[in-house]
Amino acid sequence: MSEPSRLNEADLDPLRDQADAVDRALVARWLGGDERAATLLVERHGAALARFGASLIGGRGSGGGEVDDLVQDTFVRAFQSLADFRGESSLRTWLFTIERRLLVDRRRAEQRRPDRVEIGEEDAATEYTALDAMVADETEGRIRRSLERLSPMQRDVFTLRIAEGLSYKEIADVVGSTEGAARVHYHNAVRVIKEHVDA
Amino acid sequence: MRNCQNADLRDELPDFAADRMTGTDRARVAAHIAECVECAAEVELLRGAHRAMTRDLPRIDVARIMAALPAPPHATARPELVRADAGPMGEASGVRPIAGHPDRVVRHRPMWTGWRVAAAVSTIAVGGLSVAVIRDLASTGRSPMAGPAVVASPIAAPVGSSSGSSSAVGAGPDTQGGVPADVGSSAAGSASPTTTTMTPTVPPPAGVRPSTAGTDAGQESNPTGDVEAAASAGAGMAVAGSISDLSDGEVEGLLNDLDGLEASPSDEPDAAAPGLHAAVTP
Repeated sequence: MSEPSRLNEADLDPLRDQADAVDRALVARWLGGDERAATLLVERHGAALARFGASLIGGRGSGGGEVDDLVQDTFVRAFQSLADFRGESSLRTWLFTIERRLLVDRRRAEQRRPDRVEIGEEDAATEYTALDAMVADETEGRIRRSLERLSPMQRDVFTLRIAEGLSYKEIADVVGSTEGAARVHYHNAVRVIKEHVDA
Repeated sequence: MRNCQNADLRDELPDFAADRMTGTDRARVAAHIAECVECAAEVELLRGAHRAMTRDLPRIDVARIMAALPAPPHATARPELVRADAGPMGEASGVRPIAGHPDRVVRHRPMWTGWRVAAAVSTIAVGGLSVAVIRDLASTGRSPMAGPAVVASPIAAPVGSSSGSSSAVGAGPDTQGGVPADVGSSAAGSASPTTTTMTPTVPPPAGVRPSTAGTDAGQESNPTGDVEAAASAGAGMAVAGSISDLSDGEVEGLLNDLDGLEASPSDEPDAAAPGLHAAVTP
């Protein structure tokens, strides 16, 4: 029963291994002094980090510079410690981990300012209303709104699984959880979204 | 509640919905979806979610990010290697091999300058330390290794020439900085580079002999034998060994000659010749 699934995962591995090998080579070149490698790394992973960052931040950050700042800070933090990157996970997974930790730190800082949190929630609803008007597909609009109903952990896991295609093991590394817990968070997220869309 | 019990296949639905599957794997999932209404509905849901999450993303300003990134750790080694290969003409010729990346040249120039500054500081520090050690050994009379040649090296240059050699330039500032540390033990008053150079070579004037408040300490810490040893260490300069044989008139004549030299302050011997005072004193 489980064999086909494992074979499927194995079929995906060559592509991932190839991408990881390219990343490792670029990292080595940058560590050797080649700044062009940094440009390539930013181009390879910038969009994914922006996608995940937009999901992490929510609607209020999707149209502004907050995602840009988060992505930039993620790269800065990553390149500062790139010499310590051991390649135990893929570079993209490592970048997602850094990005999420950065945002967790920001959320904690914002929680020390209660008024900021409340304003942010209202802004999110407003911007999402504006975004909904631009979304032609009604189902897609509902899905967008349903994503806001997810808990931060559910949203992170769901985004990494759907938008980035990470395995549960990789997701667990990013969010600091276990593979089984990541799977449960994903299925709970699907259930919440489905309930909201079908309502 | 879900009716489909194919949990492993359900785990693959996100990859199928995002078109990340190919070949037989994609065909296998597609075959299942054709029969399972529940999984088919979930795939549609996931496709909508994938579109929602990947649409209208903020653009990434790569240039802005690159400007904020730190420089590569080994970036400093590259321009040096390039310049070394480029020849002795320095930076102008060194730029050529990496002309395709002008930003890199500009960015690393401060690093290159930093190395030059570091080398200059190191030279000054080593030179100053050598002078300080020599002066300390000379004041305590324990300088068999230093010898006259070592002492003469930092000494003769400023006296002989006003422009000074590279070693004199290196020793000059540090000598000034090192003297105050030695004042309490071996020297008195303020000292200039010339003061240091004149110390063992110039005999003190006879009239100045009593004014050695600072030299008393040197004398107390240096028994006569040690002082003579220190003087003999400078015997290669020919003056210290025969100074006691000179009469007062001859000494005065020498001093007059020295006063006639440029850049030779009249109070120099008084400032930094405690050891020689002791040697001359019977």
